[in-house]
Amino acid sequence: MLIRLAPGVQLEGLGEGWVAFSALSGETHQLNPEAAAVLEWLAAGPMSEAALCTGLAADTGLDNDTIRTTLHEVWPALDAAGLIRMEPADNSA
Amino acid sequence: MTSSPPALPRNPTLSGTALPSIRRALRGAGLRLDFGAAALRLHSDSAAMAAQLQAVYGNFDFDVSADWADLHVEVMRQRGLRRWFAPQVVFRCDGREPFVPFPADSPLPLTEWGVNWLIGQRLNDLLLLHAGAVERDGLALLLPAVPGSGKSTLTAALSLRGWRLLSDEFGAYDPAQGAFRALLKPVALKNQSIEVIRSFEPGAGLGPEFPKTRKGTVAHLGADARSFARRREGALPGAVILPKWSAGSSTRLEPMEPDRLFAALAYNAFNYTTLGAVGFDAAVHLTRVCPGWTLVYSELDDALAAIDALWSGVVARHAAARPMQPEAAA
Repeated sequence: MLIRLAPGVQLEGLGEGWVAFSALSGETHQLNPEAAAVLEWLAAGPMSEAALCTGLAADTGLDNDTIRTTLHEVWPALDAAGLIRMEPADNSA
Repeated sequence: MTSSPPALPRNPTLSGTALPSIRRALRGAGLRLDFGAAALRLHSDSAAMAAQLQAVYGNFDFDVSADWADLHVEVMRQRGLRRWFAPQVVFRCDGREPFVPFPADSPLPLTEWGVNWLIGQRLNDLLLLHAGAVERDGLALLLPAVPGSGKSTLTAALSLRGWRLLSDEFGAYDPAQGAFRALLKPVALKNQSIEVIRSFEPGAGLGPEFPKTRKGTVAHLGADARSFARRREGALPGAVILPKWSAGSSTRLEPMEPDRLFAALAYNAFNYTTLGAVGFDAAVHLTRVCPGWTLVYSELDDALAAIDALWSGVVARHAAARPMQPEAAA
């Protein structure tokens, strides 16, 4: 499974906070730091959950299990907001 | 020998025009009101309209030209039996009557309300923030706020103390120009704000009072002659202040975090959602270039003093952020 930013998502940092705009829904979302960190990583390109965990763990110094737990809390909100897409790895090309 | 070109003739002002001439224009080809970023052509057969317009648009040109108008509105007497016992006026645009009629002696509040609604529907080349807007030193000061916050009172007071009025209702940001534009509608003062402004500036040219509107008693403060003359001049984004009037409070100005400022701008805009990515980019840009504060106040003089005190810092910040202009070649 690969995770990618949904088409047309813009992410902007404003001071200590973050906002994201979805061109698909026309909605703007204010993000918590965890959600913003995920979207920042995905802005570089689609990646697997394992690769994302490794990257975020290196960034934050937290262990992989903690990161994975956090990601599982963040996915539903990002998915419902239309900011990410999850797709089988063989469709990622 | 050369001579300077003759000055372009200027139309007489509405205050310098006889009421019968204004009535004829309203019943004939229409009266054109140029707010800056948009112009209105207004038709009306209301007996009260000419005098009420003259009271609040007195510094505007008496313009009956066929020049372009963005908005076309009729405010007409209601026909039918009702006109004999409770006469009314109705607002029409594009062949529709989107609002319930108003009493026949109140065409101005209906016109103001309707035209503001129409501007919010139409001017989608601009991000229309729900905010008062004034200018000094080439920079716009925005006062976004919810109703009852004292936005109009503060906008009126600033315009009476030397700030150029851009708008009471619309912070009209033009993303293409990177500047705010004027939408010179009169400042709509409600209820106790009317007396506050009369006390603050006894010479303020307020129009007639309209009691029993859905917002209580309303009176309008028209744009001054200088603001009208400069209505085509933009103003760069300067600063944002979210005012909140609170009885008996001392004046407090507190800096706002950028993410709160973004929310105050984007979620108070009339057409943010309509503009999509353009609106998002504009709101992000304004958040980055404009410092923001919340202002709690009860005394107008104290609030204005606090704004004056911080404004030199705002001007210096923007001057430092601008790229240096190359020196002209000798």
